[in-house]
Amino acid sequence: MKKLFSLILIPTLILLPGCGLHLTELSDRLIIEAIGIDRTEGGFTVTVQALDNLAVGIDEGVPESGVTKCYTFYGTTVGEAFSRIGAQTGLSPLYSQARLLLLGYPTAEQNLCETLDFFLREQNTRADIAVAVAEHTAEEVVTASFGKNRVGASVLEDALRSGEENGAALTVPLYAFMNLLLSETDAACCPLLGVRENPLTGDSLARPLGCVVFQGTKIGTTITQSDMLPLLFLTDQTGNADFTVNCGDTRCTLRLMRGKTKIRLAEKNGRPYFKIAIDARCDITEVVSAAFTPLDTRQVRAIADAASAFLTETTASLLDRCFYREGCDLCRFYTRFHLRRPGAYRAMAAASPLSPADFPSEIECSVTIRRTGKEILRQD
Amino acid sequence: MKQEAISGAQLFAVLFVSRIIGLFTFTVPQETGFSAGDRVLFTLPFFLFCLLCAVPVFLTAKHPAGIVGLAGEVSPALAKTAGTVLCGAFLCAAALGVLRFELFVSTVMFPEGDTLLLTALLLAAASAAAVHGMQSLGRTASVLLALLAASMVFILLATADRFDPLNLTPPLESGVTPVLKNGFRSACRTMELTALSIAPTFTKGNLRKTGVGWLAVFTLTAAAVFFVIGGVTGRYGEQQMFQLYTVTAIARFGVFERLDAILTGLWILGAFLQAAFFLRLAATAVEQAFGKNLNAAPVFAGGGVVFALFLLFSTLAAHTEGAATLAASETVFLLAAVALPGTVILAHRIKKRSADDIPGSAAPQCRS
Repeated sequence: MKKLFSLILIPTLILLPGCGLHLTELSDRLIIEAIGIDRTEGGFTVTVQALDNLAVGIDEGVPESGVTKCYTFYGTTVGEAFSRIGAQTGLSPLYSQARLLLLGYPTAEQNLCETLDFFLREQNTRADIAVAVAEHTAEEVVTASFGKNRVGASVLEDALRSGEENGAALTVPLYAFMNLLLSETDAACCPLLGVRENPLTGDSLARPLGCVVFQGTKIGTTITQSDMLPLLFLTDQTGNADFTVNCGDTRCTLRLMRGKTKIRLAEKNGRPYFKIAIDARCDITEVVSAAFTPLDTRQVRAIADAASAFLTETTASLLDRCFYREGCDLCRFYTRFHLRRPGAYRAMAAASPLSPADFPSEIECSVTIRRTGKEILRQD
Repeated sequence: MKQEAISGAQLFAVLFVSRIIGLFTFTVPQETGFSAGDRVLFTLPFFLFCLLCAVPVFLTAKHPAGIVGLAGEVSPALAKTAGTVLCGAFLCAAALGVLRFELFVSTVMFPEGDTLLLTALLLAAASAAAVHGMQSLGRTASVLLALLAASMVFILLATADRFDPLNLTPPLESGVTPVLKNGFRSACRTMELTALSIAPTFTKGNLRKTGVGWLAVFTLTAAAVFFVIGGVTGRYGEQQMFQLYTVTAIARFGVFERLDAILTGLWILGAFLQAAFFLRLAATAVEQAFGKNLNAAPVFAGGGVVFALFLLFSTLAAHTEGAATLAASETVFLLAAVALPGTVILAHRIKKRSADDIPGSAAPQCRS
C-alpha cells in the first residue's frame, strides 16, 4: 500500500510544483499601484499606474521613464475597461498591490453606484485600498510624475497618511467608504487630492486639499483643509495635529497629542438629543508674544480655554454646515439613534420623514495641556 | 480495518474543525432582511434547533453499538438499511463540503483556473487519511484545532481597531422569520451531529457531554465571528461572498498584513479533514451494518462516489442558483439526523413492548 502511495505521490509532487505551465511569471504581471476612474461620454476611462517590472532592479539604473508606467483603458462600464487591460497590454493585472483608488471630481458628483459596483463584486480587488477624490480628473493625478525613482501611488498614499501627523488629511479604506455609501443615512467622506508643480524640480507635488462629504452616493459638500481638524474630531479619527489659537496678546501653536470624541444619545423634552464630548490633550509647541516669558498656570489655563473655545466653535460650525444645512450625517446620528432606540426610530420615521432638525446636538470640548514646551512652567 | 477508539476531546476537535469550515464559507442568503444584528442572533435558534435534532441522536447513541446496533436489535434488515442510509448521508455531506470548498477555491484562489484536479487530489488525500482510521483523524484534528484557535484569535484581534459598533444593525428589523429560517438552515448543515449516532463504537467517554459542549462552543464561536464581521465590514461585508475571508484580508497587526493567507491554508486543511472524517464515518457505518472490516479499496471507492456527487451537486447548483444543494443538505440532514434515529427508536420501542407482552420472551441481544 505504501509503495502504491509512493508511486502516486511522487509524480504528483513532481508534476504539481509551484512553477507550472499555467502560472504567470512576474514579468507577465501588470502590478497595479494606483487606479483612477473618470466618467467619459458613454462610459468610463480607467487610468492605471503600474510598476514597470523590467525597469525596477536593473543594473543600468532607473530609466528616464521612471519605475512606473501609466495606461488608460476605456469601457462602457468600469468592469469592461478593466477587462481590456490584459488584451491591450499583454499582461495579467494584479490588483493586490494597489494602494490608491482615485475618482475624478466630476465622476464623484454623479451616482457612484455605477462607478464602484465593480469593486464590490470583483473578488480580486483589494478591500482596504485607500479611496480619494481627485481635484479635477483622476487621470491627471494618477499620471503625475513625482520623480523617476519614486512610485507615484506611494507618494500619494503618503500624502494622505500624513494626516495622522498633521491633521490635514485622512485615509479612508475602500470597505469603510463603501460601508457608509451603502447606508441609507450615513454620510461617507474621503480626501480630496490634487497635484501641483514643484517649480524647483519640475516634478509634481502631492497636495491634500481637504475632503469631500457625500450625500447618498454623490458629493454633498466639500471641506477645505482648514476644516479638516473639526472633521477629524466629528468622525473620531484624530491622530496628531497642529493648530493655532489666539489667547489675549499671544498666539499659541498647540500640538494635539491625543483626541477622542464621544457621542452620547440623551433625551431632552422627550426628543433625542446628542451630546458630543471632545477630549483633546495637547502640548504647547510655540507661544508667539513680545518677549520670551515662562508660562504660569493661569496662562496655561487661559490657553487651554482658548483652545477649547476654538475647537468647540469650529466643530460646531462644521456640524451646522454639513448636517443641519447640507444634510450630510457625518456623525452617524441616524444610525446611533436607530441602534440605541430601534422602536422609537421606526415610530419617528413612520410619523414623518426624519430630518436633521429631529436630532439637536451640543458640543463640549475639554482641552488638557500636557506639556508647555521647553519653557519651564512658572509656579504661582 | 482496525478501528482504534478516540477520546471525547479528540472527537470534539474533529467535530469542531469539520463544522467551522462551514462557518468560513458562510454566505449571506440572497433574500433581503438578514442584517448584521440578525447574523449574531441567529446562532441562538441554530443552537436550539441543533439541540432539538440531537435528542434522537443522543437516544440512539446510548446504545454501546450506536444507531446501527440499536437497529440490529430490531432486525438485521433495519441495521443494514440504517447503515446504508448513514453511509449515503455522510458521502453526500462530504460532497457538499467539497462543493463549498471548490466554490472558495474557484472564486478566490484560482478564479481563472480549473479546480477539478485540486478537488480530485483533495479527495484522494482525504480517502487515504480515512483509511488510517479515526484515531489518526482525531490526532490531526487536535493539532489543527490548536492552529485554528490561535489564528482565529490573532485575526480577530488584528481587526479590533477597525471594529465599529455603529456598523452593526439592530436585530429583528425584518421580524423573527429570517432569524429562525437561517437558524434552521444552518442547523441542517450540521451533519457532524449525525456522527454522534455511530460514535459510541469509536469513542470513549460521555458522548452527550462532548456533543453538547461542541455545539455550545461552536455556537459561541460563530456568534463572536459574526459580531466581529458585522462590526468591521458592516453593509460592505453583506455584499461579499466570503465574509470572514474579507475580514482577514482587511486585518492588519503591526507589520502583518493580508492575513487571508493564514485562513486559506487552514481552510484547505479543514476541508481535507472534513472530507476525510465523513469518508471515515461512511466506512464505519457500512462496517457496523454489514459486520465486515473494509480495506482501503472501498474507502477510495467512497472517495470516487463523493467526487461524482460533487460533480452532480455542482451542476445542479449552477442550474438552480444553489437551491438544489440547499434542498439536498436539508433533506440529507433531516433524513439522517431526525427521521432515521426516530424510526429506529420507534421500531425498537415497538419491538421491546411486543416482546414484553409475550410472557417468558427474552430481550433481544445486541449484535455488536
